[in-house]
Amino acid sequence: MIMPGAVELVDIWKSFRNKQGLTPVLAGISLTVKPQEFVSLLGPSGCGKSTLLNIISGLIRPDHGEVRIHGQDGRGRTGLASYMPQKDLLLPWRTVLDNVILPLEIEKVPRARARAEALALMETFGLAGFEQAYPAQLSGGMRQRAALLRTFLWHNDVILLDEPFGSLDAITKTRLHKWLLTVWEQFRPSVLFITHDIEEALVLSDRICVLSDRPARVRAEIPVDLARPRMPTHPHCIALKKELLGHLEL
Amino acid sequence: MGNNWWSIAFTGLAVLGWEWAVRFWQIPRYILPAPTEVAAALWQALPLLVEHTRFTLAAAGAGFAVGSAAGMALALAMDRSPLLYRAVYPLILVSQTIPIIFIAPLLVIWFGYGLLPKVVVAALVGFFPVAISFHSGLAAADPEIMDLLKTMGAGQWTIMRIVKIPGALPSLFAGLRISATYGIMAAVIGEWLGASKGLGVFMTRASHSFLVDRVFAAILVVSVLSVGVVLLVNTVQRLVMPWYFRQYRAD
Repeated sequence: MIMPGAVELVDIWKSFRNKQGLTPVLAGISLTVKPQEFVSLLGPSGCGKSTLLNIISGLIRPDHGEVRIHGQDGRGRTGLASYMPQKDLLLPWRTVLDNVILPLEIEKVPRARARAEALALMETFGLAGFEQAYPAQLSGGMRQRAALLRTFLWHNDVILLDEPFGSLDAITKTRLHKWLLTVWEQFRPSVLFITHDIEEALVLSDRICVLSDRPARVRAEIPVDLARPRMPTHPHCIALKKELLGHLEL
Repeated sequence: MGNNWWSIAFTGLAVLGWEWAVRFWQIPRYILPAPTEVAAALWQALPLLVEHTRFTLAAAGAGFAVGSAAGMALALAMDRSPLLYRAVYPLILVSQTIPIIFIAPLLVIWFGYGLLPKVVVAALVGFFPVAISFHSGLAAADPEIMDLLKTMGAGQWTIMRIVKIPGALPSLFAGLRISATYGIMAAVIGEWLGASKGLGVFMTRASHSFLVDRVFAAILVVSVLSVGVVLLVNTVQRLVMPWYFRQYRAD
């Protein structure tokens, strides 16, 4: 039996209509995320990465192409993949605990059970003691971890992360990378991680897909065959970085 | 709270100046009474004022309840239906150009001299700030959060309940504060034009008899009532949205 990919994209095209006419954003993107694989999408800002995630999460439909999530048609269908956008988007009027149980609440899981499930994970996500705090009381790194816990509580095997650490300082970011890998190794979801940070992609991913400028195409797919935890200063990492920079035409 | 002391001190000084000026120039009581005379009039007319205040508060309270409930309902409906919004919103704005002082006599003609026309005036006046501010609060909901909830499989009403309504509460309360104070004023205006009880009646009677100290006493009561309802709305807001008043950072 052939295992279906966690996410399979076949020849995805998407254009947006504006005053100048049609602007092509995605021009024939094909890629696969295998079950339990961590894949990064690396590309310049504004290349259409977020549009691609919106297509996978079912918010917008592609003009052409196929989206399959664990073999199911995912075009225009929400709820098959958990999505964490760039901003943490925590609701300021809810405590951390009530924010992270949001996906369970929408699935109509009884509140007591949802809370119990979230409380059991607070320690792992570094939020213990802050269950009853409001988002405004948290630091930037904690807010991202809370947003990530909300994404994990969704109970989807497929997790889409859109530059989750893009707004954080370098030190907080490096700490969160280490932490994210321990969480990922514990739960082993299939991850599609969007970034424009080459080192971040190198430290985290099993495989890196390089996207071109808009309209986006897949320029190259580079496997990172290196045991974790990785140091960005490792000779192999530096060699890969050179290769990636070449693909990005930098 | 430190800032309040300045305004209290300034008010005290102004009242002292008023007292002194009235005595110094020997201004007659029927032109401008001194603060002490106003206080004496207030004390003397207190039982009567309490009786009239009950009617004004009843009209203002009922009008505020009806007006703000209707305002909230319309804001929700306009948010759900862009067509309704486009049809009704300009009309609501234009309706505010009609002075309430012209409508009140009509209401007396239609509904008589009882409590009802005052309730209607207070409701009409209270409706607008609530409808407008609650609607703009609903419309300001973050589209990204709504998209996120959609990817979680939430429908329109779930998004309304979880994102839009809680997010619009600060604007709603801003509107409620305005409506509550307008409500008192509207009830008084309604009473001017024909009633048997209420602070408006007390005021017109006093001014017709040149009992200016009583007019001032009534003004004082109306002010205290208006401040009182604002404090009441603030208290309710603190109970409904404690998060709003607890926004400090841990780091």
